[in-house]
Amino acid sequence: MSSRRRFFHNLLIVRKTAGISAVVLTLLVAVAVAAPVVAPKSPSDQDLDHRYAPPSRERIMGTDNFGRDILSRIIWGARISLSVGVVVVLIATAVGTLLGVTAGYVGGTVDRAVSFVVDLLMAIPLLLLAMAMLAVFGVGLFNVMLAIGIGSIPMFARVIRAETRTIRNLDYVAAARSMGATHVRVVFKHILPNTVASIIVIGTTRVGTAILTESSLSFLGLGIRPPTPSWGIMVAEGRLYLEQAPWMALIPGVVVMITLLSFNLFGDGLRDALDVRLRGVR
Amino acid sequence: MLRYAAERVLLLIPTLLGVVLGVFLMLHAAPGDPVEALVDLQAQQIPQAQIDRIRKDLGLDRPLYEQYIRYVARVVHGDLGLSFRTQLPIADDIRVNLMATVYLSLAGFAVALLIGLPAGIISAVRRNTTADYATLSLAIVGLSAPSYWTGILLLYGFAFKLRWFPLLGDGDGTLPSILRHLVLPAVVVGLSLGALIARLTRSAMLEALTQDHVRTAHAKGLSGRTVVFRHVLKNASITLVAAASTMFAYLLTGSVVVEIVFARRGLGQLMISAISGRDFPLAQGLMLVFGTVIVVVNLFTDLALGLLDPRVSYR
Repeated sequence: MSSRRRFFHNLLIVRKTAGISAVVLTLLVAVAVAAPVVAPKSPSDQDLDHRYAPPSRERIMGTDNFGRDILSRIIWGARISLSVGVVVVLIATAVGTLLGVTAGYVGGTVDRAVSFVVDLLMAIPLLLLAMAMLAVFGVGLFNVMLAIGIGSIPMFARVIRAETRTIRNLDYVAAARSMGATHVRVVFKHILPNTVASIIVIGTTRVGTAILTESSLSFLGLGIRPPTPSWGIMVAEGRLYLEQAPWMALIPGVVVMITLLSFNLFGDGLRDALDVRLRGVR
Repeated sequence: MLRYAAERVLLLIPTLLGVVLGVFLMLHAAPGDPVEALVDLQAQQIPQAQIDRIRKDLGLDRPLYEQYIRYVARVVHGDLGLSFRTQLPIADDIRVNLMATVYLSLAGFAVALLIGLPAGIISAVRRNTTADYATLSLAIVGLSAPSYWTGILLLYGFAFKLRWFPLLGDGDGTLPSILRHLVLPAVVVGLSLGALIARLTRSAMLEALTQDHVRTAHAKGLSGRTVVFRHVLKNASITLVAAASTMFAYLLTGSVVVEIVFARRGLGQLMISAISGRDFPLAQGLMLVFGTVIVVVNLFTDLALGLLDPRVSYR
C-alpha cells in the first residue's frame, strides 16, 4: 500500500468512528452546498395553514410556528454554520500561525510578549471573549465570525509556537542555515510544512467549536439575526413553543450535537492517524 | 514553596492591571465614542451642551493615560460607574447577581465531580471493557451536546412532562424552593464538565497506573482499592488540578448559557442584557469581574499545584 493509501486506510477504516464521522461531514457539506436543490422548500416560506405540523412523511422534521419547513431551515442553516466554521478557522490559522512562528522562531522578548498575551487570552472562555468583542463591535453574522475567529487565535498561536521551537533546534534546520538558507527560507521550507499536521488537527476540532459557539451566541440572541436560519436561533425560537411543537427546539439541537460529535471524532482520528502530539494543548 | 507562593501572588498585580487595561481599552476600541452610543440609546434629541457635559463627567476629554489611571483608581475603590440604561451603580447590579451565578457554578461543579470522577476511575481501572467504552462514548456525547439544548431537553422532560421540577426562574427565596429550582440547571452545567472530568481522570489514571511505585504497591500485597485510592488517584489528581482553569472555563460558559435557558438571575443574564442593550459600562464591569475571577482561580490553581507537586515550586 502506498503511504497515502495507508494513511486513509488507518484514518477511515481502522478507526471506524472517524470513518463514520467523515461520511456524516461529507454529507453535511454536500447538503449545505446543494441547499437550493435539496431543500424541499424555501427556508422562509410561511405556510400558515400548517403551523406546528409534527414530523410526518410530507414534512420530515415538521414545521414551526410560522409553518416554515424545519428540514429546509436545517439545510440552509448548515450553510451558515459551516461558513462560520470555515471563516473562523481561516482567520485563526492565518493570524495564529504568523504569531506562533514569529514567537517561536525569533524567541527572546518577542516570544515572551506574544506568549504573555496568548496565555492571558487562553484563560478567558471563548464564549465570553466573543461576547466581549460583540459588546464592542455590535452583534451580527460578520461580527460573530470575527469575534470567534479572533478568540480562536491563541490556541493556534500556542501550538504553532511550540512546534516551531522544537523544529528550530533540529539538526536539519542548522544544516540548512549553515548552507546559507535565509531565515525566511527556513521558515517557509522547513518549519511551516512540518506544522501542517497540527494545523489540520486543531483546525478540524476548532471548526466544531466555532459552530457550537456561533449557535450558542445566536441562541442567546447575540449572533445572527432572525429570520436567517441559524441552528441556534431555531432552538431559541423553539424553546417558546415546547408545548405545541417540541420538535422545533429538539431537532436543531440534535443536528448541532451530531455535527459537533463528527468534528470531534474526526479530529481525534486525524490526530491519531497523523500521530500529532499537540504540544501545549490541554 | 513560600517563595514560590509569594512570587505568584505578586505576579497577580501586573496581571490584574493588564486585565483592567484590556477592559479599559474595550471602551476605546468601539467605533464612535460611548457618549454617542448613549445618545443613540436614548433615541432622542440631546442638546450638544449636555453631550459635552456627559463627556466631561466621564473624563473623555482627558488624555488616554490619565483616563486609565482614573479608571484604575475608581475600580480599586469598587466604583464601576453607572449603567447607561438604569443610571444605577453597576457594582450594585453585579453584587445582586453575583451570588446566583456562584451558587449555580458550585452546584454544577458538584454534579460534575459526582459524575466525572467515578466514571473516569471505573473507566481507567476496567480499561477496554464494556464499562470503559460506555463511559467514553457517553463522555464524548456529553462534550458535544450544546448546553442550551441539554437544558431545554431536561426542561421538557423533567419540568414540563413529568413535572418533577419547577419550570423557570430561581425560586421564591425559601431554601426548598431555591434548591428545587437549582437541580436541573446544575445538572446541565455539570453534564458537560462531568464528561470532561471523566476523560481527564481516565487518561491521568491510566498514566499513573503504569508507574513503578504502583507495581510495587501491588507487589507488597496492598488491596486493589488501596492502590487505586492511595497511590494512583493521588498522582492523577495533579493532572486534574492542572486542568482547573479549563474546567472553570466550562463552568462559566455553562452558567451563562444555562441562566438564559432557565430564566435565572445571574451575571450571564446581566451580560446578555448589557450586550444587546449596548450598555457599555455594564459590559465593561462584568468583563472586569470575569477577568479578575479567572486570574484569581488560576492563581489558586498554581498554588494548589505547588502544594501537590513539589517539582512545580522548585522549577
